[in-house]
Amino acid sequence: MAKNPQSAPWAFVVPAGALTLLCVLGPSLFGALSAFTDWDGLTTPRWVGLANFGEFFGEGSGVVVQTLILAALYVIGVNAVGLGLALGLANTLRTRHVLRALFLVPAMVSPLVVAYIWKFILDVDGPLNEVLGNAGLDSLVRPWLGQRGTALTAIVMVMIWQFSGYHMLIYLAGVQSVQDELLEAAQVDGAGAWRRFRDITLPLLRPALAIGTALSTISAFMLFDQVMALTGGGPAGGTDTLGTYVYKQAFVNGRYGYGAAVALLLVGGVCLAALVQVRGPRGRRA
Amino acid sequence: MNGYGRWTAFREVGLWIGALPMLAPVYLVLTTAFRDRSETGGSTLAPPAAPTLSNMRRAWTEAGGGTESFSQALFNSVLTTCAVVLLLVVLAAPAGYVLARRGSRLSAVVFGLFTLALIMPIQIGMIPLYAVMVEAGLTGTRVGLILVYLGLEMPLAVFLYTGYFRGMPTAYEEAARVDGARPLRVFVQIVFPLMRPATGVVATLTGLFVWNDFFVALVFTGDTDKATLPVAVYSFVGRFTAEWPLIFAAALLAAAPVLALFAFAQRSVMKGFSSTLHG
Repeated sequence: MAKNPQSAPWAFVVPAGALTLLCVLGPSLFGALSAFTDWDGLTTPRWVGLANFGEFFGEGSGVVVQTLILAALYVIGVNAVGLGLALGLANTLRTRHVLRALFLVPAMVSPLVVAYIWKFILDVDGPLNEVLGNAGLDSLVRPWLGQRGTALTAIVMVMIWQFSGYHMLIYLAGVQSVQDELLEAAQVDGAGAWRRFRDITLPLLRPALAIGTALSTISAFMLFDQVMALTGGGPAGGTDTLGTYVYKQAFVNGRYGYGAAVALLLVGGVCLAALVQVRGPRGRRA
Repeated sequence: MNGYGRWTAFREVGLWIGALPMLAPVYLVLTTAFRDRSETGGSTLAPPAAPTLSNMRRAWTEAGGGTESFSQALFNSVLTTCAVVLLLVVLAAPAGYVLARRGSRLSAVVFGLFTLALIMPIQIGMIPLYAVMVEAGLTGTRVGLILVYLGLEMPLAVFLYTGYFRGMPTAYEEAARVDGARPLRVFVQIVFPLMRPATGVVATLTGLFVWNDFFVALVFTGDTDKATLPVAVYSFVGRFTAEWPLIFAAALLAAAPVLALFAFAQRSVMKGFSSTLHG
């Protein structure tokens, strides 16, 4: 493609670049540097080298494990459900437009509000336990958000509930671009439904899958609102994620340097995950 | 493949059953928000015995997060969201255009910096940014909040515009340039109208983010009369613990404008989403 720099002056980039430098890159660089200090926001920061990182790996490993569990479950769950919805709603259904809108609506609402709705539903005296009680399943009634295992599952379920419709949209265009003739020809040649999906639809969805997994991984690592609203990180820190841990250490305990160190590890994790997923599938096929 | 057979009907019914978990919470929010607050101890599943608007009225007049009333928080949200989206489009579209059209190593580096800013967790730069804004006397002000949102959402907007414009042919611009049009005119009259689908997506994604965002609004405008709706809802939860009828009435009021807009522009929103995601 011919490039014509004359009609695309650099001046057009300056305002956008300046704002990004001022609000994101500059402060982040400063934050990254403070990761190697004991800055508390008040006194002069003192250089402490790698002490913050050492301390985190000593006491914060549970947070890493919880973040990884949540991220893995969310990435697999939301993409599987989203892809399933896209396949089911690609065409032919009479009510497909209504259904698509219905699945997408939760993604339009504030994650904080959605989390509060589910806090109500999962409450000890809430509708879910009432339904279980009415159905005679009293043995299943429990404080869903008060136990570590069910609370972690609940956080993932709430996120999947809210964003599977968004992931459906990511896959919908890809699914629709698969030509019917190709599928019909394969069917005539005796390919079953699973083979047609695996050998025709799935390869064509590879770019969409890369986008879907990258987006969900990034949002899973940065998870904050839902945890704060549903459990506040409890019981006993059992559902704290890197996001809530950084917030508590930096903003609540005033340990900015330590919080920044953990945030820096978070950046590393996100970059690594994004790189693996965007490069991975492409490299294999190239 | 396009026929409507028994299998398709089965799929249609199946998906509606699958949609029930989507609908159940909506039902619970509505019944709770319209339930009279004196109706306690009963089932949380039953429809309200005497549906009432009193929760809505009370939520509307209650102060939230330093604002005098819900309507003030609503006004703050509308003003902040509109200003951010408008300025973002005006500033990000030209930047994306340049980055897409210049093939130099420098433009690749600049694009890389925007991408780095895009995946940077918000927490790492938040404290230094907050310190700078306090120094500049911009915390608790509309200008400050708009400035912060602009900076935080700029990488996404530039990223989307660049990606979209890379796939567009250069013929129109070149024709205009040969005719002697200056860069700014080429951009305003030729390029920007061609970017309309991308503008739709940028406006939708960033508008939704700003409208729904809680963390940034809490840090920069919490406990002031410039607070936005999510902060107001949050303060409701703090003040009326477990008073779900009031909390859900407030949540409904906060979500209503977005849902109305979605119902109105549903097709274009969905089309825009999927077209840029693959652009």
